[in-house]
Amino acid sequence: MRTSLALCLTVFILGSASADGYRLETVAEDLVHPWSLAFLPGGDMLVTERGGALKRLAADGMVHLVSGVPQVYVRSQGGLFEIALDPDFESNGLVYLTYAHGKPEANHLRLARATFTDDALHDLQILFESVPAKDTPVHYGGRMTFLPDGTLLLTMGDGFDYREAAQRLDNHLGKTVRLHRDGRVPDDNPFVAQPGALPEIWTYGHRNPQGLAVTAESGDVFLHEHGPRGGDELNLLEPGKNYGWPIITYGLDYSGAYVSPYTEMEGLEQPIIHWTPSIAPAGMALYDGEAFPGWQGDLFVAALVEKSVRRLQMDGRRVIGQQVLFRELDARMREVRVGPDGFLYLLTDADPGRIVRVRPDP
Amino acid sequence: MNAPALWRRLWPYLLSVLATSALAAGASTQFVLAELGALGVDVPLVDRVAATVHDMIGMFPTYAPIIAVGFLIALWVAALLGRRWPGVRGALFTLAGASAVLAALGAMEWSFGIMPVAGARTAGGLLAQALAGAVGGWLYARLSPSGRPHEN
Repeated sequence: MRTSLALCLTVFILGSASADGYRLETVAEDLVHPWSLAFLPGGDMLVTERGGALKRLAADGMVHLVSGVPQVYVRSQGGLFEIALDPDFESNGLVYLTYAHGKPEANHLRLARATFTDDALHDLQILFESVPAKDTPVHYGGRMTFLPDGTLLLTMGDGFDYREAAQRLDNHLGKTVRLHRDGRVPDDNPFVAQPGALPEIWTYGHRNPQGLAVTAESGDVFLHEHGPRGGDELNLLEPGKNYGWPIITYGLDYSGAYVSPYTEMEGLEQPIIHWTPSIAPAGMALYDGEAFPGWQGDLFVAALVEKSVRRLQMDGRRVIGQQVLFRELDARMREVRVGPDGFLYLLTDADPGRIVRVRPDP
Repeated sequence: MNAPALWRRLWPYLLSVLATSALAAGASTQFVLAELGALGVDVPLVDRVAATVHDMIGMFPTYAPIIAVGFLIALWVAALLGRRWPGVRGALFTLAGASAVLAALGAMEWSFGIMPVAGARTAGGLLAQALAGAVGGWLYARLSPSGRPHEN
């Protein structure tokens, strides 16, 4: 079903900061907690809303509701999360969705894929469901990306009340999970041969990872995760590694208590950087566009609490500088993406939320 | 109620809140460290003591006000019931203290969908929090004036 909501794709200038060399434009508004964005061939965009809606934002200014979206468990942080196009989307039309599924006393993170045609999802397949079920409506992770070998990497949070589960390999809480794009488990996953370990697990010891970025040249995988009060982390992922939560952390519990008295321990990976106090990193992009030559190779991190996007100036695997951007929007930032036009696209976490385009200031 | 009479009730109340907050935080620390121990982390005594003191101080600004509100209601109810049944006054305040902490934790869990006090995520941890509340209630019963206001 094709439903035109006839909302205008308003493009207007919010303001410019010529000193920083960019201009901000709102390209869509009246969205309800937009969570993720994918760029379709031809200039349209697909955007998810946490409440469970998937919309196509047409280049001609119309907003179209996409049908066939699976039933989503919507509560607190739970809902519809990421959308990603298959690397071969132009030939196979496949899209991938992550979302919370279930009920208050038993819910999961799910990964599904479907064919997208005519503003509808067809032939939806459930590729992955996290285990065990949890009874908290928070810490789902839910970000995904494709690795250079074509496999798919997915993040799963610790469910908050289950933080120690992040250290155990018999569950998906607090893990990244690597799958073939049809849901099969790759034979070379690090714990495939380990008795008692779930074979999908790629890395573990995470809290609530909500940012992934992969470099094209080296294949380095960067992940960021929310800490509690402080201790947000940027990590460089390597298969089979343990990133420490909750045994080591630079953050405190919300109550003010220790999660752990330790910040480092042998065998546990240190973050590349950590943010204390928390900025609440919620999405990440590696800038590989042409529009901002000075940003090439830098990471951009959307921050909910700081209401900013952090530009991380990278030198290989090292962060050599940070710049706090777009505070003038005064908006919780849910996601940042690099468009095919080389511009940055920002999603604000609000109702109404919007998509803001960042382009060079001429 | 004049100022001295108010003070005679206030300082036991403040002391009971302080005691419960410290005990509850300390209990939470032990359960959190026990979970780390179950993951294979060895926590030496010196680290355990330091963590306990840290948490008693660190949790005070968030946990003590919640306990204070819970105690205000629960101890007031206990005081009313204590006038009717003075023979079980101590038990009533003890029960009120435990109930106040359990109610506060229950309200937070219902409200947020999570348990914000990590040491109260298990049945044993929750019981320890209730015991901390019970000690505070008992303390208040021991230190506060026992008669009707006009008898003080």
